[in-house]
Amino acid sequence: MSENNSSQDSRSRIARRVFPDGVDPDPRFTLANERTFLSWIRTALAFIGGGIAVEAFTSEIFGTGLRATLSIVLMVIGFILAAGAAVRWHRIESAMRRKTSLPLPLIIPIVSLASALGAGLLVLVFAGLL
Amino acid sequence: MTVVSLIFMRFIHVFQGWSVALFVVCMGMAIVAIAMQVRRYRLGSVSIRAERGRPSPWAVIFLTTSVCLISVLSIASVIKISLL
Repeated sequence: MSENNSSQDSRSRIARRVFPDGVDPDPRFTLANERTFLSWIRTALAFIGGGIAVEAFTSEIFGTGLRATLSIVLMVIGFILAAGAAVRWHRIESAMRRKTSLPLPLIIPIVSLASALGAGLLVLVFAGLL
Repeated sequence: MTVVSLIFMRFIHVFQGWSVALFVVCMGMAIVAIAMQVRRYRLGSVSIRAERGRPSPWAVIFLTTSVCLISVLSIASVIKISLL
């Protein structure tokens, strides 16, 4: 990268290591990126809490195996979302620093698919097919 | 994070004191996260005045690690409960 502000770089060591090149972007975009990261973290926590809620409160609806599976799937999605949020935050901040195109969000399809599968499963359960 | 970590109380009949310990640890992590936000707010104010965006990797790493840790522990708890 040709543009590098390391000559007068007052950033912390970790910031220089995580974002070694590029120039500091408009602070509004950096803060917006952090807000988006926090939104994904909230979503991840909701999935984790939902997983435990399924395990705790649905013993009269689902069998033991299905209940544990559903619960674990929801919590795994929460894990993926939390990790994906950090990766996404880094990719977008790097793209902004390098003034390149923003990367496509990869975790949105995961959430969409998981939500669709969850809704479909609930329909099957309440229709008595499962 | 504190509210979600209350989930560990669900497993108190299996893990006894460990559930409470985990909840306390999660509360501690939440307090650290809030303390980091105070510093982050100051840093953000400075970056706005200087018109140069300054990301805060430590806060992101800490929060991601905390949530991933909670999810891994929850998954392990559910697996253990299911196997009993």
